[in-house]
Amino acid sequence: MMPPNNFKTQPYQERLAKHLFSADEAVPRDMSSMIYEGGVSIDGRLSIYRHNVVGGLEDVILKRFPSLVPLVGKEFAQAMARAYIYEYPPETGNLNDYAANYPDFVRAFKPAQEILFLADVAHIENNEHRAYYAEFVSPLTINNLAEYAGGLEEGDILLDLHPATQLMVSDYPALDIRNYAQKDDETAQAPQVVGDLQHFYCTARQDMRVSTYEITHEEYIFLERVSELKQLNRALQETINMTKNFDFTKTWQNFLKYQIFIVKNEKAGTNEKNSK
Amino acid sequence: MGVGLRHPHYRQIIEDPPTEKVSWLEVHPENYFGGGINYKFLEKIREDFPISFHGVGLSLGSAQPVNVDHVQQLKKLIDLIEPFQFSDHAAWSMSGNAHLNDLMPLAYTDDNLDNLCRNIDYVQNTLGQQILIENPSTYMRFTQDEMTEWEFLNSLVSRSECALLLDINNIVVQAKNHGFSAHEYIDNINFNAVKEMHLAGYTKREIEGQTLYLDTHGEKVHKDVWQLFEYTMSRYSAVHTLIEWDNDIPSLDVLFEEAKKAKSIIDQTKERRCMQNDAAE
Repeated sequence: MMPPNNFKTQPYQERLAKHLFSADEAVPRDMSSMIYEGGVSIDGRLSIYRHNVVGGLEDVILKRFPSLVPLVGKEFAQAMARAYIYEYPPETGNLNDYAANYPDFVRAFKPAQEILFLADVAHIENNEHRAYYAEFVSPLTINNLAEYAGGLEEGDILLDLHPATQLMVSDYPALDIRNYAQKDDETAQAPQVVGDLQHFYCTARQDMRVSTYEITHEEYIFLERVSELKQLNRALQETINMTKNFDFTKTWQNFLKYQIFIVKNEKAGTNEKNSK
Repeated sequence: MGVGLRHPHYRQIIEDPPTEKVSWLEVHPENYFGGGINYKFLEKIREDFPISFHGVGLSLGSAQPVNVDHVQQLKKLIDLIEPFQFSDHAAWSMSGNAHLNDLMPLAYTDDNLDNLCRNIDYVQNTLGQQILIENPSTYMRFTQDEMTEWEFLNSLVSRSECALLLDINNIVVQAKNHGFSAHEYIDNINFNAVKEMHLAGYTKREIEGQTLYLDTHGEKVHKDVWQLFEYTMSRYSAVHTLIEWDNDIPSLDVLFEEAKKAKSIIDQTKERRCMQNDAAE
């Protein structure tokens, strides 16, 4: 005979979610009366969901930060991801936005703190993920530069970083370490990890491909100034004032090739061309 | 016949659209929220194929209302891509601020029917279209169930005027895990409401000496799923049918072979039904 129906969905869902996102795997006692065992214990049944939920999110993180696995080993990478999942469960069904703060978590994760460059490697991979999913806006390129050259020089047309463009600074050769980690070649030379020199990186999307480039300090300052001031001439002037060896012509050509910028019409206040 | 469009196949489908092997493609819309490169691929692919959206993130069975922002992102994507239909699941994933990233089972109670209907109403009204709800695969059932799964889904259809996406693999998995007749399910589901079917592979797992069947979408369609599909097609007219494969994704040729097999069953059963009808007349 069926027991009286006192099943309340909301508290059940809250308890189950809390249970699955907890390192304490004991099944809440009141949940036991809700579920048929039928040859397999409730622990056994919930272990399938735990595997799907936590294991599925572990996969998301390991795929999002693929270089961490060869750098620390799969077991360590999984344990670190699991610790993150328990602390920061996803808040929406859109997992493209999940684990955006994972590099910060890695930096603060005590068992990983001896691997000083690990968080910066994660940061590069996070920037590449953001670039992949960034909005499509037509970039400023060598091909369309003539359209805007006059306005850019006069300051009538504003310049900005493309939504896919990401900048970062590392005390370690994080990009070299990341590239080394991704190589299958066992004879490849490991990069020298010396923490006495700053490295500047720019992630950009060229059409359908995302890449990260090491840039000079001067180029980094210039991109920061563009992002801040939105005017080419002012950004250039400030960069020259702040640095000694800025080769604008070479930098400009490279950045146009990397599709790092967009132009904005000052009067309209919107992107000139927006394909989506 | 359709197949699930997954990331490893984007470039191949764009470079050499297999329009003779498959007539439509299905995607998880959440993978395209916010734009980016995935969206550009989809935008290109839709030039050659009709697209169906199969959501995994609405959490329609949650006790709480659906996430308004999620529905708005979905609507924006639907407006851009214009899929010919949208489906999601009779399941829940969201509780409070935590999204479980899995399809959690519902007890078949009036309480849960109310929740589902409320959330489906909101989504259908916001999108301005009927949506399809997929029958789940589950690994536990509840002492408080008040009805069978097909009764639950039939009530859902009559109350919310949604349609159904009937996953034949899920029915086999449910029947094996929970000990009921898959044929009885097919006989009793309101097939007039079914607008799409899924075929996929399950995986067996031994737990505490018992075999549980998991809906992993990582293998070829099993023989018993093909048999149930044939039984279904012997009773009802075909609807859009999809080969679904999400893990250990094989080459497109493997998916096309599975699709060809499904098409052959549809054609053979249709022919048999026609002959039976002719004989009866």
